[in-house]
Formats: sequence, C-alpha cells, structure tokens
Amino acid sequence: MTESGAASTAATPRPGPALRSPAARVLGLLARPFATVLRGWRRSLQIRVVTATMVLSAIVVVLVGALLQSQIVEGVLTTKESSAVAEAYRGFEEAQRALDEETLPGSDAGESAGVGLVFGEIVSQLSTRSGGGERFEIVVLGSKGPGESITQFSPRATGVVRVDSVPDQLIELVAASDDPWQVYHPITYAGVPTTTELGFMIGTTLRSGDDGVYELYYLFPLDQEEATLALVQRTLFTASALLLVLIGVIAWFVVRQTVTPVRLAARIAERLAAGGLQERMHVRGEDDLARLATSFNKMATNLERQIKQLEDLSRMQQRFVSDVSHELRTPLTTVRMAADVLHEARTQLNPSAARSAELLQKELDRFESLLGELLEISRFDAGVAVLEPEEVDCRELARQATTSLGALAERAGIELVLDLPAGPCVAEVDPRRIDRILRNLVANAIEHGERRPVQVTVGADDRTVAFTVRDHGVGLRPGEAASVFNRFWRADPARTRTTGGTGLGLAIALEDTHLHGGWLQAWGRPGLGSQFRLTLPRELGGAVESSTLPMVPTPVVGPSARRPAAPAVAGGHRPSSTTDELATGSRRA
Amino acid sequence: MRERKTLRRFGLAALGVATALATGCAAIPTESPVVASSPGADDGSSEVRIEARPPQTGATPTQIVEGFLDAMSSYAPGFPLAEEFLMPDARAGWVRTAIEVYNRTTLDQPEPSAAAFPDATQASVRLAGERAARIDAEGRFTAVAPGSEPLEYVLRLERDPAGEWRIDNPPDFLLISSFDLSRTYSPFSTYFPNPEGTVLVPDQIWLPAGEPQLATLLAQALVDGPTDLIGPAGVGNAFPTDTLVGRTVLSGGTLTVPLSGPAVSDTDGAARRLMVAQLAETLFPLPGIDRVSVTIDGEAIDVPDDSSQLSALAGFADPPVYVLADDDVVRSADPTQRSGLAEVPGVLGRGELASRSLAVSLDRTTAATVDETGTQVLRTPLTEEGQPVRVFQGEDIVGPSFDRYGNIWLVDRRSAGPSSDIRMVQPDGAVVAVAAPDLVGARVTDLKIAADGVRVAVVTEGPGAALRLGHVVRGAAPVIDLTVNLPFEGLVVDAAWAGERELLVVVAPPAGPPRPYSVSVDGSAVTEGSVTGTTSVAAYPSRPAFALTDVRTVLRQTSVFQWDQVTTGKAVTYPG
Repeated sequence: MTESGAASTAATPRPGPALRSPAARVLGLLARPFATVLRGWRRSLQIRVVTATMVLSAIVVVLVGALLQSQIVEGVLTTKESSAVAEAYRGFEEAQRALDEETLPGSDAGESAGVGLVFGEIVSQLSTRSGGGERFEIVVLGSKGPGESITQFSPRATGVVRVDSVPDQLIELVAASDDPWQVYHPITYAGVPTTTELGFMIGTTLRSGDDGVYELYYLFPLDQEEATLALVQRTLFTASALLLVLIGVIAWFVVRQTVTPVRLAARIAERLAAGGLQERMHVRGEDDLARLATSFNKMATNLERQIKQLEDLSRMQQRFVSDVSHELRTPLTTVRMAADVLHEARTQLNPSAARSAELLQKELDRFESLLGELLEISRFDAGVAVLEPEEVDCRELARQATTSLGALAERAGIELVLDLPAGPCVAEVDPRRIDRILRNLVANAIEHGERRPVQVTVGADDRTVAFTVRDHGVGLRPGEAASVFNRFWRADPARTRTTGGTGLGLAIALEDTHLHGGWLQAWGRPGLGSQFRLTLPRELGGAVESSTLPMVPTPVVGPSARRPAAPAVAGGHRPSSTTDELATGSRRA
Repeated sequence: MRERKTLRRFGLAALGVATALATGCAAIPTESPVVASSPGADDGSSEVRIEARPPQTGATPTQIVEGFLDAMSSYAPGFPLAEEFLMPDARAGWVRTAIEVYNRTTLDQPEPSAAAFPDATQASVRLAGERAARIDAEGRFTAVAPGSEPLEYVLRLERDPAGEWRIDNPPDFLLISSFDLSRTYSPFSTYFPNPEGTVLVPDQIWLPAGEPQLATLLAQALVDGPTDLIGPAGVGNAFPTDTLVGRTVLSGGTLTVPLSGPAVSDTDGAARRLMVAQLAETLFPLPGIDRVSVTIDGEAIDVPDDSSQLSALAGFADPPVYVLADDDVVRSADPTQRSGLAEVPGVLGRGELASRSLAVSLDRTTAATVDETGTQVLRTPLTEEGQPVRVFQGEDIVGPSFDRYGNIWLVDRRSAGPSSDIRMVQPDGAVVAVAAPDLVGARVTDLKIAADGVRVAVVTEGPGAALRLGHVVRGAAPVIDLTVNLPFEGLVVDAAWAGERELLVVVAPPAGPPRPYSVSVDGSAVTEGSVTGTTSVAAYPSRPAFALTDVRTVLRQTSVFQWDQVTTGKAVTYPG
C-alpha cells in the first residue's frame, strides 16, 4: 500500500507561508536541521558516546581549570604580597627613623619643624626604590596634629596617584593602632580620564618628635599580576578547549573500535533476517564480540536447519498429496465406471439398491471433484499452475457463472441479480479459472444467502476489472474474514454442505487470483451478509493498485435497496478502513 | 588493513615524541646564549606631590601657617587655596609675584600657644629658616649662598568672623621650599637680539610650569625685556616697550601670539623678523608647538622664521679641541674620538712657541697664546705660514678668550693694587680698555666671553670670591656689567661656557680637592662632577667636556660620571 507524501488532501487546511509568524518561520527553519541532528543522535551510538564523553570531560576540565586558576591566583598574590610587605616594612622603618632624626621633641610651646618638608624628603628617598618589577606609590596622610586632635597636614603623594585611593576603612584601622594594616583595593590615578588599577595597600602610623601622628601608605599596583593572571587564564582556556577537542577525537576513535564490529554484526543480522540464511559473522579473537558472533552463528545455523526441515516437510507433504491424488485417480476411474453402470441400471434394482446406486454416484462425483481440487491445489503448491490467458469480456464470464448456477439458486430460493456495466469490459484473463472463481463465490453466496438475493456486480476502469458477489445471509463473524480463505475452513462446522463444497474452493480461488496478480477480498458483518470482491488487472502482468468497486457495500442495508452502479473513476477508491471485518488474502512470497 | 595499522603506529610514535619535547620545554632554562641587554620602560618620576588642603575647622595658628605654606607649594593660577588661609581683607593686598625659596623652616610662636588660651583672638607665628634662592617678579632666579641669608618673618593671625584663625599680614612674596620648587616652577629661556641684530642671546627666567597661559607669560616676558643678566644695555629688544600681548591661542600645533599697541604696528620688516625669531626660539620648547604665528592688531604678519640663523653657534658647530702639550706643541683632535691628535698647522704645531695658556678663535683661524712669563700675548694665525704677532704686553695675564668678532679678551693683573685690567684686543691689533665697575678691588682669575658675544663669566678670588656673570656693553668704551653672583663654598678656579644655560666651573672646596661643577646660568642647578684634582676645564655646547688635572693629564668626559684620560698637556681649550 503506498502512502502518498504530505497528506495535503486531508481535512484541516494549513495556513500558507505568508500567514506564518516570524517566530514560527524561524522555528520551522530550525526544525529541519534539528530533526536531522536528533535523528543522527538516535541512530548513532558513536555520536552519543562521544558527546557524553565530551560533556563529562568538559565538566571535569572546567572544574580542574577553576581549581588551577584559584591556586595560581593565590600563589601569585602571596608572592607579591610577601615582597610588598617586606618592602613596606623597610620603608616604614626608614621613614620613622628619618622622622625621629629630623623632628625635634617639642615642648608645649608648640614649636614645630617643617614636617612637610621632612616628609617630602622621606617620601622622595623611599620612592627611589620604586621601579621595574617592584613599583609602588606612597601616600602620607596626617591623622593628628602635634598635641592637637585635628590635622592641617596636607597629604603627600608620589607621581599622580590620588590620595583618595586609600579606603576609609584602612585609614581608620591604621590611625587607630600602631601596627601596620593591609588591604586589597583599587588605586586611582589623576588624569584625564582617571585610570584605576587593582592594588595592594599597606599602611602604618608614624609619630613625629612633636607628637604629630601621620600615616604612611605604600600602594602597590597589581597590574603585572593582573597581566600574569590574564595570561594564565587565557592559556588555561585555550589549553582546555584544545584538550576537549582532542578528547572528543580520541573518544571517536576508541568508540569506533567497538562500534564497527557491532555495525558489521547488525548488517549481517539484517541480511539474515532478509532471508540470507547462509550469512555468518566473522569470529575474531575471544572477547565479548567474538562470543556474540559465535552465538549468532549458532542461532543462524539452527534457524537454517529448522527452516530447511520445515521446507522439506512441507514439500514432502505436498508431494504426498499430489502423489496420492494421482494414485487415487486410477481406482477412482474404475470405480466411477462401475458406478455409472450401476446408475444406468438403477431402475432394475430394488428401491434400496437403486437409492444406494444414486448415493454412490453422487458421492463419487463429490469424490472426483474433491480429488480434482486437491490436484489443483497441489499444482499450485508445486508451482506448476499454468495460466492460459484470453481476451474475454468479463460480463460474459459473470453471465456464464450465474447461468450455470441458476438451477442451484432456484432450488435454494435465491434470486440472482446481475449488475453489469453497459460497455464491454475486456480483460486478458484465463477464463476457465475466473469462471471457477466466480462460480465458487456465487455458490458460497447461495449457500449462505438465507433465501435473500445475491448480487453479482461487475465494474471496470482502464486498468482493472472487479467482480463483487454480495449476499445478505449470515455474514461473517469478526476474525472470520481472514481465515475464510484457509484450506478446509468451515464457517459453521455444524452446517451441512448442501452444495457439495469441499472446503478448498476459496483457497483455490485465492491461488487463481494470485496467478493473475489480482486481489480477492472478503467482507462480512454478522447478520448483514458478506461481500467478496475479485479485482484483476486488465492486462496480464499489470499490478492492481485499486479497485473500482467498494469493498464495503453501500448502503449496508437490507436486500430491498439496490446499490447504485459504481462509477468508473480513474484511480479508484482506496479501500477505506472501517470497523467491519475486512480481509485481503495475503500473497505468499 | 595492514597499512592502516602501520600508519596508526607511526602516528602514536610521533605523538609520544611530541609530548616528550613539550614537557622538556616547560622548565626554566639553565643556559641560554648571551645577548645584549636593553633597558625596559622607565616608570616615571619620583616626584612628591602635595595635595594641599583648605584650612580645617579648629586649626591652631601654627597649623594654619603650615597649611598656608603647603598651599603655596601647589601651583594654581592666582593661588586661590592659599588665599583661604588669609583674612578676607588681607587677600587682595597679598603680592604673589616674587618667590622666596627656603631650605628649611621652623615655625614657632613667640607667645604662648593659643591652645593655652582658647579665647585668644590674636596670635603670631614666627617663620625662621634659611633662604636658598629668590625669584623676583620678572622671574629672575638668584641663588643664595647656603646659610648666608636667614629668613625670618612673623605672621600675625587673627580670628575671622567664623572664629577660625587666619593670617593677617601675608608677606609680599610666595614662600616655596627648594624641594617643592622644581616641581612647580621651571626655568625657561627667553631670547633677545644682540645690538647688531645678528645673534639671539638667551636669558633665563623661572615661571610656573603648570600655568596654562605659559606661552602668554613668556611672550609678555619678551616684551618686558631681559633681566639684568644680559640687559638692558647688553642686548636690544625687537619688541617696542608698550606692546600689549594678548592671550596666546594654541590650535593644531600653531601658536598664535596677538600683539597690539601703537608702536608695534609701526615696526618694519627687519624688526618683525626679529620679533618672530625671538618668539619662535622662546616658545618652541613648549610642548605641542610646531609653529608660531604672530598677529599685529589682528592681522597676521607673514615673515619667515630665521631663528636658526641667529643662533650664537651658527657657523661654529662641531669644533675640535685643542691641547697645548708640555712640549709646546699644539694639537687638535676630534673630541668625540678617543685618539687622533694632530698637530695644528704652523708655528704652534711645531712647538716653536713656548706658552702657558692657549685660546683659539671661534672661526678657528687664529690662536692666542700667553708666553711662559705671562707677560705677552701672541696672536698666531693657524696656517702654515702664519707668524706670531705680539699684541699685548702686560704683567700677569690670565685668559685669554676670543669672542665671536675675533677680539681677544684678557685680564692683566697688576701687582699695584688688587685690581685687574680687562683688555680687549681687536683684530686690527688695537687694544681697548674695558671698564668693569663691579670688579674694582677684585682679583680676577679667569674671564670667558660666551659665544654670543654678550655674556661674560668672570672668576674672582679673594674675599667674596665667586663666579660672576654679566654682559658686555659694547661701544667706544666697552663696559662689563656683572650682575649675577654665583656663590660657591670654596675657591672658584676656572670656568667655561658649556651650553646656553650652563657653565662648567672648577671649584676647590675648603676641605677637599678641586672638582668640576656644572652650574646653570642663574645658579639654580648645581651638579657635582666626579673627577678630582682638576685645574681647568674646557667646554663647548654639545661637545664633551675636557679637564686638565694638576698632574697635567687631559681628561675627556665620556658620560656624566666618567672621564677618560686622553693625553697629557698643560692647557686644553675649545674655540672661544
């Protein structure tokens, strides 16, 4: 059954492209590659494994990188801090010493030395050591005037560093104690525009001889450390990225080693499933894959053996049937002749003997037809059934079949209705076989018709021709439509065979249909009757893709209504699926 | 399949090798080739800035004065921050053009501290210190001998309406420490034409380096005329006296100087050229100036800038150095090379003239020597045939030196009286007496005329010994005006003009060997040389300095602290 593409003839209309919102359009554009990606993900074990590896590695790498970075930061800062602190302590000592030397211990008269000048010289002296790797700036603040609480001391600073770079918190702590305090804080430089650098500051109080309290701060810019850390970060980043990519590549190669044999195994299994029973896997090594291959091969061997056995068995059976049928022919002919003689002379016998002779004749007829059908079936099984096609008008075939069964129908009290198209429907078929099929179908319909009319319809289009035989009898129960074509199947085992059917009729009809390359389908509903449809290609060798007559008769009503003639439509109707039982005789491979 | 296997093996092996190499490169190198080193980036100055604070609430009088001093050390036009420390009515009257530069200062209160009497409304603070220098209203820097001029000033403070102490009697000058001076003020050269208008003579003034209108101030200084180092009699001035200088405007590298005034509009082409030349020479050193354009009454004057031709050394560049050897042979050499002494042509090169000192003219055609007795001055052309001519006879001649006009200047020290006679021998042989009123009673040991022919340096000995600078007033009776006194601790032995603003001086300190010192023209910068035992020096702008030691070795200065011995001799000189 072919499935046409995007079912655009389906019910609900879709908005055209102009009506789609931009979001929907973008989603639509993304959907196609996304669907491809998703499909690739689902189908490829390799991609899944590699992706999982990379994701996990990425997590690990990120964690390790973060750890490394934090360690390096700490290390770099510790180094800088210790050297900065050492320099600062040296400076503090020197400054305090210079201050002591220069400022005279004061009396309460308030004599003060030019402490500004002193600090200018001290700072100038200290800052000569700044430069190169160990750069620093110095800021001097006054916290307390000599003997007084406020200070008029103007801050001194080196270079262009801004005095307000020193945070208030540091100033407070430094001013409050005699010990040095340190902090990490950005350093601002005056200029247009002002620039800022990360920095480390350490300060202490200095006391002048006249009880003045001052604060000396060393400001160490951390620009070099920043640059180092940026370099480290960049390096770590590139290294991690490279590492991840390489891990992905390695994982790809490693997984390939596992996946390739599995793929090979899958291919061989596919071939086996497709029917190549000789396919076996290569067994390499002793690992799990080798074990899999060995078991697979064992299973395949077993399967092959079993299937061969079954095939042999089946063939044997077929041959037996054929042989037996043939063998039975000979004695049957003889018996037949004797029975004919007896039948001819039945008038001369006593009534019971005459009756016996009639019975004998009848049963021998049945026996003969059964044998004929068995032979026919066995010919089909052996594959030696031969098609003898002729150009025949199907209407003629239908007429013939109904006419030949007219007597039977009359006896059963069933009206046979013939619905033929006006024009000729010529098809290239084997008339004998088709006639057999039709007679079988009509006979079945009469048999199960329950004294209601049986309709025979013929329909045709330019490619196929279809016959339906409709009865309004018992119908078929759910599940029976499929098994109705089985050999020796009986709808109702209790039912007597009034028409003398053998149980092989439909099976033979199915085989005949398949020889022509057509369809034979059954439909039925309990109490509403059943319909059998035969569809044949008009040209021998053509394929049947659709049938002109519907499978389910409409209306599904009583016998009074006549079904309108089905129009010959090109393309035909597809058999619609309903809740009713529907069966197609399956084609044997 | 086999090929793939070998390929894979090969790939793995290569990977292994690469890994080994990579790990090997990760360590710190234990060896490396020796390469020449180059200095990294300089990190900037170690200048100490003062962020002066306004007067704090509750500051004591001493603190107010301290703050006032700090405020004066941070330059801002008009010193508005320093004004805040003054009483409101004292602000207008405060003169802030002159500067007193001090080395040290102490503040004390002659009266008991104000803290003892919180209700006091008056206080005084005495500033006591040591003057280091003075910069007058014109910008002229005067160095002061250490310890020679104590500084004392008593500031009176009163409480202002808000109850804060404020200074009531600010001095008529700014007080800046020598430490802070170099940060806030810098020397600038101003140029004035000599009377003939052929040379631009540099003068030096100090101006605040952070002043935004520096160019205007410099232009105004040109209009105002030279300091007494070179003028007014020594040089002329192309700018008429009542010229008004407007605000200069700098845009795109061109500085426009607007001039106006009745006299300046009448100036002629030659005067305008000189004005432009003066402005150009003066203003080019300022950053961002590529061109100077002058407008008179709004109209730009289109005059070429030939300031380069008016340079004192134009035409006299790259001279050799001359050495008078012990054998009286005069040799010249390229001072930038280590060796290569060659005899000068003529008599002097052959050592036929016994001399004790040597001078060479700026055009290097003539030499003047003083004979061994020190009584005669002989002038010899530096040519093969040149013959010495006696041009002067005296008692004890020091010098000589040539000026740019070919005159020989010398000093004859008479035994009668401590005075020294200064004589100028003109190229035609005429001897002109030069008066030096400032040298009456002083004994001169050296006299050098600068290449510009206007400035003169005189070394005197005896009480008040110093290096004195001044200018020559030319005319029928030339006069030397010595206006600058550069004091040194010890005896000044020799001096030489080393550059436009710089002299190389040999000073013998009271306790120690004589050394060369590099001194700026106004005495503001003194750098001590590293070689000892020098008796005389020879210097020329842009050329290495030479020194003669007491053991008669001739040394050449190769770097700031390094002197190489070149040869031996009894005199070394550059032209001039």
